[in-house]
Amino acid sequence: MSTLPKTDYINRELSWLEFNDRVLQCAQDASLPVLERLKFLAITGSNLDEFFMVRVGGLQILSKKNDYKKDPAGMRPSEQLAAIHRRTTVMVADQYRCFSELERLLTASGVHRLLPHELAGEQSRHADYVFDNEIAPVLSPMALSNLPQNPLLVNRMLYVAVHLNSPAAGATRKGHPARRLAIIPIGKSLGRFITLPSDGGYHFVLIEDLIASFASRFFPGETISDIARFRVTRNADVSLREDGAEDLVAEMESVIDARKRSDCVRLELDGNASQGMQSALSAFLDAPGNAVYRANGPLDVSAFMRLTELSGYDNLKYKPWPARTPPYLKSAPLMFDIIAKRDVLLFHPYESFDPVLRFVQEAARDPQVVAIKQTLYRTSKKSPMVAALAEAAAAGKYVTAIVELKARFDEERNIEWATELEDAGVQVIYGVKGLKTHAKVFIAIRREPNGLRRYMHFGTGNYNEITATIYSDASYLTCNEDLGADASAFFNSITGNTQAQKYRKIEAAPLGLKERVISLIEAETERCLQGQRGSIQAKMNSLTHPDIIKALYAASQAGVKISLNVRGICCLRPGDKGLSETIVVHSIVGRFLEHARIWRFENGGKDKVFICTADWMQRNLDKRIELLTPVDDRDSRARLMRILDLCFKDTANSWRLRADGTWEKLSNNTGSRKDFNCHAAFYDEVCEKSDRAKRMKRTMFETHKSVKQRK
Amino acid sequence: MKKNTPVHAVATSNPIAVVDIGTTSIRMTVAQVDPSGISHPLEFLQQGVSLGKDTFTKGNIEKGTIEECVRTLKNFRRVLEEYGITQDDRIRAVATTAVREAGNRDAFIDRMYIATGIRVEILDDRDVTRLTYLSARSLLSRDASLSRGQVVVCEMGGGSTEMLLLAKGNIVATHSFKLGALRLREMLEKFNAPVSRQRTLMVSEIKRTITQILHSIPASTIRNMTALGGDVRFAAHRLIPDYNPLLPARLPLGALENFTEEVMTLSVNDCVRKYKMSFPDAETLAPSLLFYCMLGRAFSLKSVIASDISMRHGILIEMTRSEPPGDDFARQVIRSAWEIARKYKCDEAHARHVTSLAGELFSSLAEEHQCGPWHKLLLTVAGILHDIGIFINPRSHHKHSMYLVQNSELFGLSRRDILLVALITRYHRRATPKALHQEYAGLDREARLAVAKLAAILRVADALDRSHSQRIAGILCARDKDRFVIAVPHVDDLALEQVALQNKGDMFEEVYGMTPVVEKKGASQF
Repeated sequence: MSTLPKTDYINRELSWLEFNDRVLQCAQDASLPVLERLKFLAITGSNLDEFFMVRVGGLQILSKKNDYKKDPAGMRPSEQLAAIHRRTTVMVADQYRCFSELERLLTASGVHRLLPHELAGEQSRHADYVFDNEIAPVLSPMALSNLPQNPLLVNRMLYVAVHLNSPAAGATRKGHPARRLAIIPIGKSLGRFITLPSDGGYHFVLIEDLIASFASRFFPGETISDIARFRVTRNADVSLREDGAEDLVAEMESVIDARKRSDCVRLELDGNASQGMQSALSAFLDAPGNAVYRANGPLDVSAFMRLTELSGYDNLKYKPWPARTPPYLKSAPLMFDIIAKRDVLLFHPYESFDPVLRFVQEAARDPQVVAIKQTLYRTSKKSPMVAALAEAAAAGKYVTAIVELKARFDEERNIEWATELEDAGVQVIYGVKGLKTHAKVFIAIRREPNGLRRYMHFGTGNYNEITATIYSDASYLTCNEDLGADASAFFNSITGNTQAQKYRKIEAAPLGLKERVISLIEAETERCLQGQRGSIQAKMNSLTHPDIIKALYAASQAGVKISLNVRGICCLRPGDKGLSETIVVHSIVGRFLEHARIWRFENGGKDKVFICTADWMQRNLDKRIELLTPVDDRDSRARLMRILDLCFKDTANSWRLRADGTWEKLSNNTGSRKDFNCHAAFYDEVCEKSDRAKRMKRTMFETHKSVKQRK
Repeated sequence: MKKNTPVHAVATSNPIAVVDIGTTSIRMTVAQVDPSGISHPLEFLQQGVSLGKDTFTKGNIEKGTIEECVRTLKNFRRVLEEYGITQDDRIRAVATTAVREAGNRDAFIDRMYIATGIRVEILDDRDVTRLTYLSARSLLSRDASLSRGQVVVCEMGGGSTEMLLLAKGNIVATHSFKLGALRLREMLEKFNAPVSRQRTLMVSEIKRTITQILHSIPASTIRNMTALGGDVRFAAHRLIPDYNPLLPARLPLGALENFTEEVMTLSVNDCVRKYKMSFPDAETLAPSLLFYCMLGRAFSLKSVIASDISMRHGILIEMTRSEPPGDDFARQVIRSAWEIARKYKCDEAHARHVTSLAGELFSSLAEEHQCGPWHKLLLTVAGILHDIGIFINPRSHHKHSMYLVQNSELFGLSRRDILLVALITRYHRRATPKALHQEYAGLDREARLAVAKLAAILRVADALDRSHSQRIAGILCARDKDRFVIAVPHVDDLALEQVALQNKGDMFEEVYGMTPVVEKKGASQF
């Protein structure tokens, strides 16, 4: 790996925290509907959970065993942990300030969280009833001081802790009453929200509050001197970490202990907990000082995601934007007919994912199709794609599916449907050793009067019709001969039928994608050095690869105009004199999850445009099987370039990265008409197209076909 | 029934496949053929195998390697099934040097057939050259700038180097040298040469072959050099940003040399790591690039052309054309025969005349000999070459002709066909075939008959130009009971030819059961 001066590289963890902060700023954005704001807040919570389990956990192990190893920004693990703690403490305070504000607004709209002492009458009776009949029977409090071995606390579960004064235990030498610590685990089978009867609006009480208020019932004869709610986050196990911290795993493998219990990486306590309780729990959990966070409100804000799904409060949510299908796709009898005539570029979720699904289903049923190949990664539970593949195999077609089982948290579910596919006669390949298959490609080989023809779908998103309504992704459908040959060769290479070979147009990681990207960047650099113009526009989720960052800096010094739209982590430092003056980094965080990787290189005026499944990160370019697809079709390319342009034009959902590593929100006056919202613009354009087609239909009269014509 | 279905319609809906079992890898191309007969590749698969390593160092293919080949062919088989390719006439599987030279080649081929149902056919050098030519012709014809002047097409394979010399798309000469990239590697390993010496050894080995090449191909005539194979295409990928392997690309020799220098400093392991290539590919990279660079220098060229010409492509062309050796192909064979005839300073006018007379006799006797155009081609080549032995010594020149033919680089003919031509020239005078004659006796019956039928005709044709003055022309042939009458116009004095025929007509009589006689036109009643 090349070395960069450490100041030229922004620490990856801190950059991630800034991304989470941008999500938090969406939660703080008063121009947005309140339940959407709550959703953003919940996302910051679940994001942080994962960050602690995967990233902080990894760093903690490193700091204990290998603290001299510095990251590209020159920070030792312990320094990173300290910085993370500082930043997260501020962020948590912001989260709860935001929570309070949202709660006020929700209360005004009729969504009301009550505390146990506020309950009266019927509500109080109901709470009592629920506690006695549904909660208490399943709780099993544990006194910690008289156990032979400390129990293992469950990752991310809520607990109520109490200090008990027991007169029976006698007094200590110093005359203080004996104190013992007990905890009440709140099992995950119990719902967090307890709905209360109400005459209007939605009233609820949180389960931990209820349990805390009734805690004394569990310890008869003892008095509760101190009480607190807390939550523990543990280090994720190594297999889980493969997905989010490949860079750390290599280092960790040599030092990791065989022990099953993972360390406590975070202890969250409610704001009212006493110092004594904090010390007792820290000691009990062996939690380092910088692992403790105080919550000024309910713990685990991610749980409030459930509240955003409340029905009947549509006025507190975004106006729905139902996905549209381009009119020219609706009228054709078969997707094959359209793709044979023209390439199709779809931009989800503004445009529907249905045509892609329809294409796969038609391929499965079309008697002319002889073979089908597809990669599957994080597909939805009852995926119609999977059903289509099984159907195709049952119909005697040769079907190959590359199934990636390592998709985080989905493993068991994946195995189940993968076995079903095998039973149906599909050749299922369970990924490639040591590499995660992240490429998204589908081929149907079809016998036509002029010979065999390959029809492909290349995408930036998973074959998952559910996430396709939330993630913004590009789909490219084509029967281009070169891309077909490449797609076949790609499958042959991952199924082990052939050695990797040079492709005609595409590029695949880990064998040549990084090199291709760098050579595309260098080509722009070279053009500028020779006095021509050079520019790059690229949109991706994260940018961390030092080799690519280095190439971008060199390009900037040659005068290449570089506009990056990076949703998440960006380790590149833009706009720095003598380093990156010509680089601008924007980030869009908003209604949809930016997920499309679209890159444009000016190439002396003959723009080269690509879609890709990879980010410019080590894990994507070095440890995964990813696909880079050039889009040479004129209309599709123009569409992608327009998408890029609008993304950079956006102010409503965008931030700009400053040279010092901080982010500046582009929209100063929230909600003002001056702001340009690319999401709205994308949707408007899509609607405009389909509405125009409808209008055209209305103004044109179509006669019935004569009997002869119908034949 | 549709009557006007074009010939290629069947091929169009039926993709075909070529499997090439080479020195370092097994490759397969699946292609479909469009109505104009051009094949479009659908898939290309490649798997490294150490066949060459086994054969060149141990003489035999190891059991493990055989099973590797079985596994690879089984994988390929699955891809073939996806395309519905199951019949033999749609797959052609060939093996080259590494299998050909292996002691256990028959066992190898049997094992492949038993395990995978794929019949592997062994190609000799001449087959490879012929097939490469077919590919080269179709690709170079698309780009006029590449076929200007004399063009050398060369490929350094793992076990041998094949060279074609083309002028205006026509074959001028073909050569095959026993210098191969893998052979070079193996040689270095056998000598256990230290890294510092490896380069010197390779250079001196290549220099030796280049000296031989320059002996056959004068450097001054060469305008372009096209290099084939994965190694040079790999270099093209590195040197040209937007390299499209389907199109020929010019690599400046200087740049190629610089890149070769870079490769030369790397070990095979380093190549694999740095260029993300397979081991078999990495092993041949340095030797073959070095060879192309040195050859380019030897020809004083400024660039080397990388192209997609390949034997596999040639096989595809051969599989898809309706009649196996087309007229154009025959023309190339004949051209190559003339090159050799000139080299041995033959009497061109005589050779041309005898060949033409033989052709006329061959046509007149079609009913008797029942031979096709391929045999006619062999007769033509034998006619052109029948007297080249005079270059050595007029005495027993038929015997000299025979071994010269046997050892010439006759383009387009297989070893067996060349032996037939050699025997036809041998029997153009003096002794008729005897069981004592080793080469003749070694042939199967069909081949022996072909030699006899064709040599008999050549003898008569040669007798007719006994004067070497080409005065016998415009002959008319007729059968008259047990006589085969050759009527000659415009010649009064036929005594010379009549005597010659008495001497040389014996074999004709034995084979066709008729006595050949020459008469003045109108002298006989028929």
